[in-house]
Amino acid sequence: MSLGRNRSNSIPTLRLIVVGAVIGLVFFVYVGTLFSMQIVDGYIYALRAEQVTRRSTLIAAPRGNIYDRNVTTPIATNRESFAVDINPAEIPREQIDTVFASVAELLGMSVDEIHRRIPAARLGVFQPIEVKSGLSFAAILPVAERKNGLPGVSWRIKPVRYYVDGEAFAHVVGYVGDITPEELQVLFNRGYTADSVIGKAGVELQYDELLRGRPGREFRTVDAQGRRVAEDIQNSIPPEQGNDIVLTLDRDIQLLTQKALGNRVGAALVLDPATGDILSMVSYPRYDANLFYSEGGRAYFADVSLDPRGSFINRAIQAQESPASTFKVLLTTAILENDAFPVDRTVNCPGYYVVGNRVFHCHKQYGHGDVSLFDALAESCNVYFYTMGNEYLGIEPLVDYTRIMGFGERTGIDLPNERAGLVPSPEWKERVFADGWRPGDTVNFSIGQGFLQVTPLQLADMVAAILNRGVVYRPRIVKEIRDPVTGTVVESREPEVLRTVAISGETFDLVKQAMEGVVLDGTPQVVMTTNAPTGGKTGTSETAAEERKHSWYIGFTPRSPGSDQYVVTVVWVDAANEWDWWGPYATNIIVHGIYNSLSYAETIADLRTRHNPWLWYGRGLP
Amino acid sequence: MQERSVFRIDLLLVIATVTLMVIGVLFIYSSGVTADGMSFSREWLRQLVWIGLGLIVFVAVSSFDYARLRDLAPHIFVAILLVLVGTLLFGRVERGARRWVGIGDLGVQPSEFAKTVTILLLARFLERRRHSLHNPLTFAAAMGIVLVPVGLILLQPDLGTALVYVPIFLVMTYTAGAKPSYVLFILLSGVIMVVLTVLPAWESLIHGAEVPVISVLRDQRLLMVVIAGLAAAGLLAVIGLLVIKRSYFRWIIYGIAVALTGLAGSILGRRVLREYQLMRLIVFLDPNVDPRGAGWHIIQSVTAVGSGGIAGKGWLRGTQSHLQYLPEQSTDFIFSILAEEWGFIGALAVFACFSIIIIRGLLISAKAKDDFASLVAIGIVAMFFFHSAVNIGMAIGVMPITGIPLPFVSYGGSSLWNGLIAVGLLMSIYHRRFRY
Repeated sequence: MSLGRNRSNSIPTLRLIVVGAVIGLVFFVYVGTLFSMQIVDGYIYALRAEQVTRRSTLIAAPRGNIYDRNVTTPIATNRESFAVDINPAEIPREQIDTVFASVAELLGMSVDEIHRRIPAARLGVFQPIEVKSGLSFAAILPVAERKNGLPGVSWRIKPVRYYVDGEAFAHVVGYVGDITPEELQVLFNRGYTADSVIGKAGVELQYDELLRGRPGREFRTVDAQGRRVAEDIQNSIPPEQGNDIVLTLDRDIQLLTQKALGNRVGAALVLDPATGDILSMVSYPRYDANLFYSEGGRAYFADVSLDPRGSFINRAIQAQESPASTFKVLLTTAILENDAFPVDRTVNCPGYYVVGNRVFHCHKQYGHGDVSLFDALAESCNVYFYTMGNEYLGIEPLVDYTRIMGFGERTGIDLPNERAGLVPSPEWKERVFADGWRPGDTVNFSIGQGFLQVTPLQLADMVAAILNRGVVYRPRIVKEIRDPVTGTVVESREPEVLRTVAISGETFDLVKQAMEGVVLDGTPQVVMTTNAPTGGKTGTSETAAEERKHSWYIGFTPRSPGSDQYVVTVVWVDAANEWDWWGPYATNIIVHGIYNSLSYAETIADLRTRHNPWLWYGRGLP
Repeated sequence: MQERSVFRIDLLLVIATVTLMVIGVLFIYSSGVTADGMSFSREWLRQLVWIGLGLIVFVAVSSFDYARLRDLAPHIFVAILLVLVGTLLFGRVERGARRWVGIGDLGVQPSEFAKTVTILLLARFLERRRHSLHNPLTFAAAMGIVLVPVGLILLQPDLGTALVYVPIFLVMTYTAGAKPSYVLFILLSGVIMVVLTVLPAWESLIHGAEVPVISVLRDQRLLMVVIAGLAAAGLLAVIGLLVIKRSYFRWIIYGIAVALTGLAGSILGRRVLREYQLMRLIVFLDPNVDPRGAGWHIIQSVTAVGSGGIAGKGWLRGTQSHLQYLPEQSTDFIFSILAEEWGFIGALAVFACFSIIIIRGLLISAKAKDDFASLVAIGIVAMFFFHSAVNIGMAIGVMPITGIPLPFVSYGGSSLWNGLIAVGLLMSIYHRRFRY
């Protein structure tokens, strides 16, 4: 067939050619477009197609375990636990109500709660939504048995943090929780996601990046509705467990300390002065983080958070209080070092001390009579130290000695939110109160009252300086970081000298002797019924309420009979408690337990048999 | 005479048509397969049945003497108009449009067949009035023939199918010898109308800032002023033409008439077009205005096509299609699956088939025994061209989405049968091309 020949119609050929040309042009442009899309830019679209269809989900990494210094059983580990998810779009519309009702019944929750977790707007979304977590295997069994009748319902393993000793290590170890939007904003660039579980307090917070591990990634291909259609196992990245952490804490001493403090608002800690290792650190009120992750955890968390006493405060490093008479140890050191007053010379204590128009009382109403330095410390004679501070030392040297002992600054312990305390000075008072320093302020300062504020840990460091003749190691909580799989030590932390106090060793030796004398002859003599050769100093700080007083005790004791290795103990019992002078009592239990390697129960039993007549305070003990 | 045998068929045309139908069945099957390889749809089987029955229709039509259709055309046209009216009254509603008639599962879309019928009547009309086509009234009368089915189809509403009549009308009147300026008039005012219709939405959804000029379209009073101004200018030009008799006044009048028609059309357009139809035009300009809504189709389709590469991902291996990212896979977006799974090579094959059909159609038109046959052939060419260009165009993102099928490939009996009838007509014209 060819054009022109045998042509019998009268349609102009030119117009047919024009039509053909227009069509040809359009097809040419189309083929060109396809060429540029599929061949020139094909890789861009291929990548886009890949991204659209491939989704990845994170597989949570098991958190590292936390051990005490003996690395026996962990303090914090992960407990196998289950979570139940509902993928609402997989449930046929008409079955939604029955499925929700069954799940609610099987899991012991209300249907309303499921509806709250799965709002109506998400009923069409192909994404599993967690309806309940922290479930035991037994708890999900009934759900698993009825799987066929429950479309869209699934469960998965979701490890939950488990603190083996419950509340015993609460403030030091801390707890974990879901990351908050605020935390995520700050930590976004460090690999955290909206699903991360993050340390909220204590070691869990401080060492979160070591403990949390690296989450794995699981790839899957999804369709347009987000339905999973295929797994991509080869390319999945397994999660890496977080590092194990070995603490300096000793489980036995921790439990002993915890029980010795009992349910009194306050703090207690035991420090190894030779290394800075914290052997125990407790604070009350406490919380049991295990309960956060279990049935009713939300309500419990709310209760703990709302406790007006502040259950989340680690009072060992965060409470700032007047050191009261324990501060007389620092004055003793200053007097000796400065040769401010001969050791044997006495000061007469009539029971009061007058400065200008103010009268300062001694705790003994009719006075101690003539007292020398060692007696004054043992008897805790206020008038002696008033006199020394006000007349023989003066505020400037006093402030200097306080500062070089480390008060007023953080020790740098590896726990979050340590407080620095406060060392007042004339300049400070001028700046803050626009008021001059008065002799009365010096008098108050001399017995650790007034504006001065210290933390229990700072007092422990003061005692450590005395025992170590000036060398203070930085207090530390973490001893080693270990590989979670092989158990080999990844990082071992060497003790680090925090400061060397420029006071002579002889002075410190004398102060130590004086503190031993306190126990033998002084105020705590009646309660320190241990066989351990200890030294220490009580402190009782007044509050506005007459019968409410803080009870301090700072002390030291050899670790075992005949040892020259010491431990430092500090106990602070808040004035909020019923007054029972618990600082020395608690210390007596702790010191006796450590020295004789006894548990709390054994210590109490032993103290009873040994010193029964004297252990009048022991009647109330468990 | 052996030469005049009915068995002398245009083999290339048949091969191209059959190839397209085979490709169609393959990809209708592919579109009904999930990512797990499970076939969830029996559409491909139904399509095979449609093809089987359609081939009978095809043989019947191609052996039928088209000359008799010249006389039958008005009757068939009236009949199809009645069916269209019936569809409007009793048809099945599917996806918001009343375009189906039938019993139970079996149904047809009369609007598909109306295209070919209209081609027949228009060809008959143009054959007789060819030499008075320069008269605007004749041209308007031809337009009148087309506007009746267009109006009925727009009422369904089915904008896409109605649009097919525009190129059919333009190509047929142009080849019949209409003045190019008439054809251009419709083309230009159509373009102006579309642009003016979309501009306000473009301004708010894509441009994001107020363009002072566009406020003319939004402000009723300003609009009246503009129309009045244009009309006054036109009147002046008419007076000028009558008084001075310079030919450039003709062009001024022509221009003003185009502008006024376009403007009036756009006012009508914005009244008549529904929100979703306007959005389709907007997302054509920028799919990311509404990526998960109106723009979804374009984005997914373009991604599917582009990711196909040279040789494609392999039959049944397309990810975009089998993961259900592509909507309307077996009908409107079947080309996207094909381009994804068979790549550039597969797409070229489809273009080759359509090119063969169109080239054969043009040649048959040129060789036809009489003007009626020639015009029917060119009308069919225009129909196939518009269908394939718009369908493929939207799959590759160069055309806005108008849900019209790809002839022979898309799933659907009516479209398939109408295509087979059209090719049958070409055949009939082809082997009766000699006068004897």
